[in-house]
Amino acid sequence: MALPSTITPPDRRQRFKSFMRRFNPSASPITAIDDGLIHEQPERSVFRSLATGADLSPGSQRLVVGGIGSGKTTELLLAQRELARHAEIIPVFVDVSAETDLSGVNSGALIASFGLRLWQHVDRQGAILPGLKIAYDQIRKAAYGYAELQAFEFKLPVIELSNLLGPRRHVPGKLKPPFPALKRDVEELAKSVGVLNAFLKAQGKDVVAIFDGLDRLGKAEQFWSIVEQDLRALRPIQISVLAAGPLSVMYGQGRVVQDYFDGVHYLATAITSPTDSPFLLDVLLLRGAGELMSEQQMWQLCLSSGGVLRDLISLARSTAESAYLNDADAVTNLDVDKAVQQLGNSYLLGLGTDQIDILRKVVKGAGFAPSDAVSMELLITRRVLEQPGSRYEVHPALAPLL
Amino acid sequence: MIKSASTFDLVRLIDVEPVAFCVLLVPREDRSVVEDLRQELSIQTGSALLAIEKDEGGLDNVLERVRTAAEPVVVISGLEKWSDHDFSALDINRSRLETGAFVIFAVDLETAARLLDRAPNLRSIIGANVFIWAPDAARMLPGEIDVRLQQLRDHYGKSDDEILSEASAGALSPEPQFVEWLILLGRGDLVR
Repeated sequence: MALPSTITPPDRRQRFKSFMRRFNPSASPITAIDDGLIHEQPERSVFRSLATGADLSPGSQRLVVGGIGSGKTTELLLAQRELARHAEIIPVFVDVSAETDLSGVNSGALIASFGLRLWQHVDRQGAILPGLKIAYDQIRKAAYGYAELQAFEFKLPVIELSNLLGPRRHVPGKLKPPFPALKRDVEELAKSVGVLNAFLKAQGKDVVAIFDGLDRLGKAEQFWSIVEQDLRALRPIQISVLAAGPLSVMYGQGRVVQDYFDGVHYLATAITSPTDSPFLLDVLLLRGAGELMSEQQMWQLCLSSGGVLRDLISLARSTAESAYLNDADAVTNLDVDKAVQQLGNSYLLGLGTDQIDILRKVVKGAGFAPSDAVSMELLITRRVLEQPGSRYEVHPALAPLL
Repeated sequence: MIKSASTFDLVRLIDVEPVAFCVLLVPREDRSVVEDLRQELSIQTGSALLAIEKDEGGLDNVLERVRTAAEPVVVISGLEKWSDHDFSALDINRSRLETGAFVIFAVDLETAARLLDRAPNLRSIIGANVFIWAPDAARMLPGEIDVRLQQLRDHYGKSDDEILSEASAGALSPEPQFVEWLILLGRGDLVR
């Protein structure tokens, strides 16, 4: 059995450990916010607009949209904090993907999750009226299921008079409803939530529902098929909604989804060059990257991140990993190169020949339009990034490997 | 070339970043990585490992076992038979894997490619943490190294010189077996 070839001095180990904690791409944004590690750029942040919209237009529904790793959850959490500053607002945060299997979720699941959390606020108010308890029981049953006695049905054969007059066909109406009808159980569930909301409203409280995790449903139609019933059912009961949505709603058929919302807030990729915008460099500096690397190395990480915040964090961590394993006290340029190549590899793996052909053409300067499924997939998976000015480029960590 | 990491390196990383996700490329038939990691963890950190291996049910089972794991390190393997749909479902449910453990997906190259392609949300938090598992040659006796090298020569029908020459030219496939070959020849420097 191998024994450690070098004994890592405790202070060095602690220094790297602390660095890794600050640059952890899988860390909860709550931790980063609490630790003061979120660098706000007023022209990029959308949380204030989200919070103001929910506050000033009760019952409105707003979507924050962005690519994977763009900081949507952080913006929703900051919006929640902003709203919580107002004593009369109750922001209810639901990470849907943490609570239910989104890949097999049914209509009503969002409302059920939200209703359970809303009940906690009602319950805190003390004396519970019977009507409220009944509403809660309905929500609880919908969330967790229940046993139902099956009544014995005895049916007499019924002969429809109309059937005796010959076969018929359905003639569709001229006007198509904009959306399919609300399912009855979803509507009933929303009414139960409405009872809880009405009670809180009577106490002078406005409720804002914040749904995170829905952006994992990457394709616009997949996203919409799951949220459409629930969000529409919440409209009549005047609960403001903030939700995270996938990047795909910004393109093609996905734009139809945008029309439903009262506001769509887009989190663009950040400007990579510190000369044009210091934002990414400031993100690194705020998290203490200077402890292990030079400013020139930080510049390299900013440029190689493609403006994807999580990739920037990931690159910084990877350089530190490399330095740590080499028993070095600071990051070298070789560590930076290796980290960029490693990130590029993770984007490269799984690409097919057709996709690589498209990417090579984009690298050579050919245009790119997310107009078909393959191109859209490249955009959703962040191999292609939309840069300011509707310019598309291959992720800078991936491009050299093609 | 994908970066290689020995069991020893991996455990050092686990020690300094206890909450993370990584993909570890291992040969399909080789399950010794779990046992190696278990032993190295016990020596370096004294902590335990949960192995979720093949034939232990589908996605729900994996998610539930990760959620209820008391061990600080979880190794998930045996995903070769998972469909693209399974990986997409895993991706959508990424939050349920975020339990504060160090989660390792020990998979072969082909499965890793499908995982990283079909699970972009998961890949986003894996980031650059994709490694080829490199066995620790220092642990093997000279006779064991000779036997293993002969197995590799016979299996691939290539000589040591051919492998060294392909690696020097940057033309060697990033399969874990070739990394192992280079390391056993004492040429880990050619693994880039």
